[in-house]
Amino acid sequence: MRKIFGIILLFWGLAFVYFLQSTHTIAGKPLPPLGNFLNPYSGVWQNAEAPDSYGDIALNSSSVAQEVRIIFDERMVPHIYAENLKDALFAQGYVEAYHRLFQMDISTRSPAGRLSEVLGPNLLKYDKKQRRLGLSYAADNAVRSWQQFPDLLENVDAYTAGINYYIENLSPAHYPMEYKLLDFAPTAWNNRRCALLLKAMSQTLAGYEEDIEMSNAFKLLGKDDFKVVYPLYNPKDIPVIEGPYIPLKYKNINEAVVEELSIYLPKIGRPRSPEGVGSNNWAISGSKSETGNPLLANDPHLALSLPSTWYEIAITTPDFSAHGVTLLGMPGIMIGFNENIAWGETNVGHDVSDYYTVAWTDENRTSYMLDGKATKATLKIESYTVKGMKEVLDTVRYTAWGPIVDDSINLALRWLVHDEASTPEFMTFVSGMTCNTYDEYLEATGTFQAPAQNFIYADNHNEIGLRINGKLPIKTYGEGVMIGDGSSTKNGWQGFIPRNENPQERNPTRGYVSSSNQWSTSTEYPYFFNGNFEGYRGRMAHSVLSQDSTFSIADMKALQNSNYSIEAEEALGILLPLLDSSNLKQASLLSEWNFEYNADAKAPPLFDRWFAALEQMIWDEIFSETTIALPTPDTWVTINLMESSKDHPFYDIQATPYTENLKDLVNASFAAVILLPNATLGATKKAHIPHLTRLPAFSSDTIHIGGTKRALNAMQQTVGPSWRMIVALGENPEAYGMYPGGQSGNPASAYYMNKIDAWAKGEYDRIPLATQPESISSPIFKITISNEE
Amino acid sequence: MKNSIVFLFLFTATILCSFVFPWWIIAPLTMAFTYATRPSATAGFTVPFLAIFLAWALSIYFIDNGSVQTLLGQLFRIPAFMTPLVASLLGGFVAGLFGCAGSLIRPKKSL
Repeated sequence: MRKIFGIILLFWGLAFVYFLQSTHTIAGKPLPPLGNFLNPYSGVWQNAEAPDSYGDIALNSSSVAQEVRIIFDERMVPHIYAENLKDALFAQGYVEAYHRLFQMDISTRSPAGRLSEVLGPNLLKYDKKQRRLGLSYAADNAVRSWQQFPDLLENVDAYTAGINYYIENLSPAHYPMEYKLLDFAPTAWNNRRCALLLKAMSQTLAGYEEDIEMSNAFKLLGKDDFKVVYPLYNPKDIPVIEGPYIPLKYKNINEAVVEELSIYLPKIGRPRSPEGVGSNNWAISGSKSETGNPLLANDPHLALSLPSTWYEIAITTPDFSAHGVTLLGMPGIMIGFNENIAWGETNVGHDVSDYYTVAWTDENRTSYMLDGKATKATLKIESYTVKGMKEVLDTVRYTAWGPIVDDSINLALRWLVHDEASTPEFMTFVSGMTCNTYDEYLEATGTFQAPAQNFIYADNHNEIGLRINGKLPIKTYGEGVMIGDGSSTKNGWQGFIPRNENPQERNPTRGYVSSSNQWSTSTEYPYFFNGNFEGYRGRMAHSVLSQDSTFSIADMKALQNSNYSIEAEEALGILLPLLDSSNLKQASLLSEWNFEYNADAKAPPLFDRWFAALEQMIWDEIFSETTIALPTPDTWVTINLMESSKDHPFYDIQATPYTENLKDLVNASFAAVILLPNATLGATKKAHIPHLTRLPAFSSDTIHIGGTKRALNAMQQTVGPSWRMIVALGENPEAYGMYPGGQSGNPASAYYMNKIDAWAKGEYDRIPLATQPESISSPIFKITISNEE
Repeated sequence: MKNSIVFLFLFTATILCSFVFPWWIIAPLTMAFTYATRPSATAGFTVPFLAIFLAWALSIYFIDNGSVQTLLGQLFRIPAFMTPLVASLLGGFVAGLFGCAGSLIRPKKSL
């Protein structure tokens, strides 16, 4: 009896161990294997990181030619000292993996469509969309074309080797805690994952299009009204590069052949760039600077996340010493400075993602008509290894235009991101950080393909410059606004704009260059382009920088943190005079407002609500069509319309028997929102920074912060300034920077989100350029990697 | 006395073995030891339970500076101070089950 009881206990013991070794879902929440996760010797406790627990590390590797020293300064920023570039890049790969391995893994699994492999079937739908967009295909094309440059590719090889050196020497006990929680292990890095990261960046920054929505709108409104609601260009915009332009070399007067729809098209599942993500950069020459030397400022805005999007790093070899930030998974420094120059980028927003119709010739959709001939489609079978499921297969059809993103609609995607690289694009930010003059910088960054960026530059020879840098397709007028007719290759892009004809300027007489994602050029530019542009922030930057005065570093900081909204100023200038006297009394909050989107102000949420209600009424022809996918008219279109006309037919609300004018709508929309409870912007916004997994435990608390997408401080709820940098050029560059988060990717580290409070207050860290290891005053610890032979 | 020796052995062996073997090494370890030392069924559960509970709790105390327990508290929505106790209870319970099973399975000495 005793023995039987013992065997029963043994059985229960084994069952309990099995339970603790397995993943479970309880109340809809997945649980990790609790035994693995909670034991003190290899579980999550091993990820504890006390601020005083860092000791020096000595390593050996045959991948470095000479000794490399990595010194982590008091802000946990690694300073790499190497004798040659390849050793430095090996160390860069190593430290990025050391701090951010999980982030690097997930951010390349996402474009690869391989999240369901580790996170389960819930992510399969997302993975399929990513593969159908062709991101994995694009990475394959990139890696294949990179083979044309074997010597240069050795730099990426060294970076990849550094990451893998870290992974190979990582015991399961020291896996980042997210791996333990999600129960999977890191896998080897390869150059393809570097390409995937570049493609993910393109998806975020050059994946915005509204072709289907625009085509539906064209069908709904007709040509004349379509032009009123969706004009291409805001005449008030101050473009990045105003010109003058080279004589017309390419005639863009031919109108694009667009497909006129017989039926409305449904929304298709395609992850796109978000709208309203803003970035700014500007450089002022010595003549406008209090220091007498150029100042350069750059604050890229992105969807914020923890671990932070950026990683701060310094790299020194006998040839250069550079400091700045990088995206995890790409060698080099994207935004930064060295002893002689400073550089940065904002997004351009040209539309390089167009849909074309496909006319299949057979029921099985294996061939389609192109240039009058039946043309075979390439069928690509995508295989998904889904956690907890059998292999899943999906067939994607590729046409000469590109992939069929959604089988329910016969549209093919022509996306620049799919193209092979004709230049060593992977070297852009490696070569860029080593330059000393603008000519060198232009040549080094001329390799960049996509997503096109406003590359800004300043140096200590008093040169400033800005180039719209990247591959830009040559389009006929209007091409890419709506769905194109895919029956003929003549209806597609006709090559690419020669890089020296990309809009650019160098040392303009006005003494500054500036970009804030606005329209790239004036209408005089000989090539047609359309895209996702935002004009208000650019106008704000110009209104300050064009003043006849000199600017200090403090002025640059104030400008980056400016919450002033030209949009609100313009809109209220029209709206308030139209309010009836009874409403006007209640509008004192707005009439006394200084148009600053400050966190403690109550006027901004009230204005936003009022304007949104008004837009719903003005564009009721659009918003009332809930079953058709339609684009939202731009804010500037609404404001310009209100300025130009007070009784436009669009003001008439279709659902009423009356004929309304603007005054009627202004008062009705105000009455609809004024009685709602009003809180401060900070309380309304509920800004926060989520972890990549969206787990609240790893995410920030709510941040009380101002800003709006139309102000230079374009802080929204979870989208905002991901890095702020200001560099005063000179004999010794004086630099300042800050980003929301911290250097470490470990949620248990004191350096995980230690900078969020300072960032939210608009503060900056001083960034010394430590050209010598001895100049780092209070290092936390150091890693030495020696050649093992 | 015997129970104290079992306790000390299991406490030490758990800490040493767990750095090399998976956490569940405590299961065969405790079972083998109680099988060999044949404590009573009650002691077969309580002594391994206490030994592993304390080994895990003390290990967590020395490893974690408080940052992990704070995160786990938020993750599992329980007070942070309870998370080391919950973890240690799991380890202790596994050891107790196998310890008791070991002591029961071994035939009693014939008189």
